[in-house]
Amino acid sequence: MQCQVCNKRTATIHLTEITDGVRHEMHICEQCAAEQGIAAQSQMSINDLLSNLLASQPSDDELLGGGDEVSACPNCGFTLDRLQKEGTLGCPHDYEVFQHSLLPLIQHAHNGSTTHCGKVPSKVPHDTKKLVELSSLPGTGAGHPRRGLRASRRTARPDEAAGVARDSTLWDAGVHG
Amino acid sequence: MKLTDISNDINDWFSGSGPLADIVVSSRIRLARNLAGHKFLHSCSIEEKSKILEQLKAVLMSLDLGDEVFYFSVDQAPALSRSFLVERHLISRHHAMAKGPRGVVIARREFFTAMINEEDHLRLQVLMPGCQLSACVEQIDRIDNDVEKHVDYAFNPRFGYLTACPTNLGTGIRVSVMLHMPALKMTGQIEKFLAAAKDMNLAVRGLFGEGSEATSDLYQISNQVTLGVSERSIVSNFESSIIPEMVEYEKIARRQLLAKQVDILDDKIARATALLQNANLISSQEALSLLSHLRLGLNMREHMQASTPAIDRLCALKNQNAGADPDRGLSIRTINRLFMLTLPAHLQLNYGKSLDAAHRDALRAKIIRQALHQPT
Repeated sequence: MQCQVCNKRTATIHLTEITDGVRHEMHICEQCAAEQGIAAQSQMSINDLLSNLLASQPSDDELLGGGDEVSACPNCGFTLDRLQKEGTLGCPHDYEVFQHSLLPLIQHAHNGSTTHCGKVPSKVPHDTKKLVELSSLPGTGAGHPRRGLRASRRTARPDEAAGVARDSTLWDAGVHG
Repeated sequence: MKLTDISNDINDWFSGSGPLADIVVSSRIRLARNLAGHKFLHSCSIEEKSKILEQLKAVLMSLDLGDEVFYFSVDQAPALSRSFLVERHLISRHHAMAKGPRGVVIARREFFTAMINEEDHLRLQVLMPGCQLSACVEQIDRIDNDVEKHVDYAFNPRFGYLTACPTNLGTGIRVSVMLHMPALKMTGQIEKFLAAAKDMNLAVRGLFGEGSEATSDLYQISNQVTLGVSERSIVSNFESSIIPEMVEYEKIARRQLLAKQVDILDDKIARATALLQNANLISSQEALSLLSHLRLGLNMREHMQASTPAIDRLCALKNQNAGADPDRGLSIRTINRLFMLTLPAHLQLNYGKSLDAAHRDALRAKIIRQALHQPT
């Protein structure tokens, strides 16, 4: 598709604007977009994604039966509206502080997953490592950790299942450091 | 070490070697990490950024990488040097254009770079030629472990490695391969490849960001999901499924060209060779596009024993950069070398001063003419 501004280069940026229910599309190349101040930020698509998700998601109450308790992170002062503008969070604690609001966004960005399964820093406590390892078991990785818990309860010995149940409280154990 | 020490030659990952190198130009793995106890970069004061920079710089410079390692201060570098680092994929465009204290640690052979204070506090990156993702992940895992001995990473048992942007959360890993897909474009099937990549939840970009794929026929494909799947699974999926499928698309298109559209193939290579050998002015985009056709011709001869008049003439060209073996035919390495060394910042850095676009086009054409000179 040709750029609608210069009519020479290939259009690689596709903008859609809906005003009063009327849809307007624009297809432009990177260079023309940059000249018009549209593509200056490499994070534009990510910001758009975040912005759209945050704007379109149901209220926390609808989703989770309860929202985040604070509007600003006590550690860094970050507020969620900044995520829409800046595309990044303020500090690692924001993942806890705004967990309920962030979960739908995280789920959308990661193909439905909200739980890490993969490498764990060697310095984290043994229990935490065990928990992540359990999430990495086949059929338990994607989604909420409690899915892993149910799977373990079906397959593990009683003592192992009890171990998992104890560990599950660690999901709220917070950020290391 | 100065940038001019490396600017006169291509780096290892762009040498045209390695497994499946006729289509998979290079493999890259990047890890995003942040230090516990610090805000994410966007919220950091200058002082906090400086503290993070100094801490990580000291750790990275102390690592034993089996290669000479040097540090480059990105915030204090002139624009030309920053553009050069972007052209060599040693830093991201975002890192080049950001503000505040930031830098990059680079291994001399350029298989490893670590951007400090990019979007995250630390972005480790390993690059290798051809299809070598397993080797990349082993190496970056080792380096990551060594760094972690000296610092505490921000980590949460549920969300994994905590990143400034939630889209990198979990493993923080970005696995990517750069693919050369000229035949898919020539046969009008590139949309099929792009649709397949989308179906596989992959991001597709050009060599130098969005838009550049149209000229160089080089496509970087990378994973988008970083949470809920392990590093090894992502790599394994690339190696066992994604890459073989993509490579097969291009191979089928190359076979189609030979079987049904050999005149078109021959014409593209003949035109590219003639223009590159004779042009007095050539833009970067045109050079990338024409060199792509030469690379296709050489690879089709080597891997498919293809023979057309234009490919035969191309293969008969003497290699001006073969060193000890100057009679050897034109190589992929030479093509890649021309590709990289005629990029705008490379040209200017090697010339020793900044040049306007017209002078760059003239210098670029001269370098290419000399390299593809037909001996009498």
